[in-house]
Amino acid sequence: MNCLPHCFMKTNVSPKKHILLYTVILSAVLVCLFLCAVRFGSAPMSAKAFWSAMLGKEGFETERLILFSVRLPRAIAGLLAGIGLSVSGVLLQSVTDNALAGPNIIGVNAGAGFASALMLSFLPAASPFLPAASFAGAFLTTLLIVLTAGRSRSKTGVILAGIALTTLFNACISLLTLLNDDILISYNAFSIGGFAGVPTDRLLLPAIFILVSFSIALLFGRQMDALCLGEAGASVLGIPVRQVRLVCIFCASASAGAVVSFAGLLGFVGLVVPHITRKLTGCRGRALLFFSALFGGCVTIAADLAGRLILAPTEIPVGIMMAFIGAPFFLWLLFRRRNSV
Amino acid sequence: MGLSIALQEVRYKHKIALSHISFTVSDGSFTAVIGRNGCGKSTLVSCIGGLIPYIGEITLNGIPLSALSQKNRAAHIAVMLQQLRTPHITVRDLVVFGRSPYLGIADRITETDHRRIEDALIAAELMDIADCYLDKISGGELRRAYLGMTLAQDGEILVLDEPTANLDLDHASRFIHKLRSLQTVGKTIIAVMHDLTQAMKADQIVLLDNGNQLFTGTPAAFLSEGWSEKIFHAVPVRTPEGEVFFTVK
Repeated sequence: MNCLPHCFMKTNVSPKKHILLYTVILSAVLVCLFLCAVRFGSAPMSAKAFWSAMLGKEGFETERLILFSVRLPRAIAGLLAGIGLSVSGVLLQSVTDNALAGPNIIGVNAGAGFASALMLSFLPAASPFLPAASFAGAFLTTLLIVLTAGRSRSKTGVILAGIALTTLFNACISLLTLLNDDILISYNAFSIGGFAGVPTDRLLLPAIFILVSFSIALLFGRQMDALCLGEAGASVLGIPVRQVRLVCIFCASASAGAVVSFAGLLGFVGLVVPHITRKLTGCRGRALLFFSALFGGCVTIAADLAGRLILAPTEIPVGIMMAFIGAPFFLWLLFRRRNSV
Repeated sequence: MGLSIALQEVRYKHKIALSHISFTVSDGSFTAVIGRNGCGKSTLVSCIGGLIPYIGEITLNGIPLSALSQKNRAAHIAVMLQQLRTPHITVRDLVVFGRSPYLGIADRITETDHRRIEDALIAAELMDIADCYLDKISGGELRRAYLGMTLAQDGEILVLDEPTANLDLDHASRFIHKLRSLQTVGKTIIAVMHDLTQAMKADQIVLLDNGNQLFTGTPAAFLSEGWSEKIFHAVPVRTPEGEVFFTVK
């Protein structure tokens, strides 16, 4: 019987070797992309200047400033955003048992965005705590969505509830921008999503949120995986479903909220990356979380790099690039799989 | 000792689903729970599996199940539910889930777990389809896959809700034969069944109707008291080999 659809399963490679293979490939691609993101940008820089600046040689102060104040924080922001949103997507898809769930689809990003906008409007002095506000917004929205998922028997109900909440939160953000001119200026960039001008110090707290959530999610990977058997199916296996769900919601919200606090409402990553990773690797649970994080980092860094280079010196925000790259690739994968079955 | 069930009442909001249910399942026996649709059979399974609250007590070797942790309960009582999901995972992945009661958050699957998984795959005749995806196999194979998961759980009591649903006569018969063979390795089996013919192969019959327990006893007593005619309008016919099947009146 032919029931091994994943591309590498056609070979006689063992699952453990698959995991090693994917880890090596994805890590290598991520490192290359990260270096490219630091090396290339709108300001041209020779390879010699790049390495000299990196090694701290004298006479390359301008290049050093560009690398360490602009490009490196930006590459780190891309990496963190990719990890955070992808992990959030995997967790949300598990906890809602819905393949269409993603932080931007079911309103988690919008909830985080609204909380951020609220804080910037009324408590601008507390802006260092923006990730915490984003997390609170994302957490409450996710909780609301999961409660809706519990009441609604159809999977479409979750998505519709998410669309309703996204619309509501976006309307609230728009209202806040109308009332407060100061946040109107940055609203456009915020709604599209991007990493331009993100300073390193603004990344520290989100990085902690994202990496801690990722680590906790990895610990609960097996239990999270069993949620695919449904609440009753997982419960009879001795899995504390409510606690696992709560942990997943907590981690998904913390990750998405942290990303929103520095990258704005960056869409598509949380929905598409887990799907593509699942289709390419056929992995689940911890392996899916790990590979999604690596692949998510690759995708966001690549999208940001492409956005900086294609129309240089004009920049295309990463949110737009994500839509241009992600959507066709996702469709291609979808049709490729359908044709091969 | 075994499993002792003494339920006063189980409610779904305003509807009483089960009332005054009391019977004991002795160690190593095979009990078939039968009854018409909506009589409360699956509710009983949910109570044993700890999925719904109930008034009363279910004890395992004298210890109330409510006193056991969810994990501990799952290690003793393996439940196969009626509604079987088909996520995009392989049969082997599903069987691995059966080891969940023995694995902590950060634990890795041990050699013992691997042995139990292989044993379960062999016992449920799943070796040929171990790497197939659940959404690509037949209904009967899916039942067997879930049985494999239940066996990997390694509980002394197996509670199976409609284990022979979607199976043809031959496979249903083999499935029941398989369950009976599990008794020889000390497993206690409680199976919710629709098929009266298959149910007559059990050691004990529990008949439910409209949430009440009408009968508990051996298949012979069930037949001699005429419960099949009274409840199911089914007339028992005995073959020369001693097997019983039913015809509808």
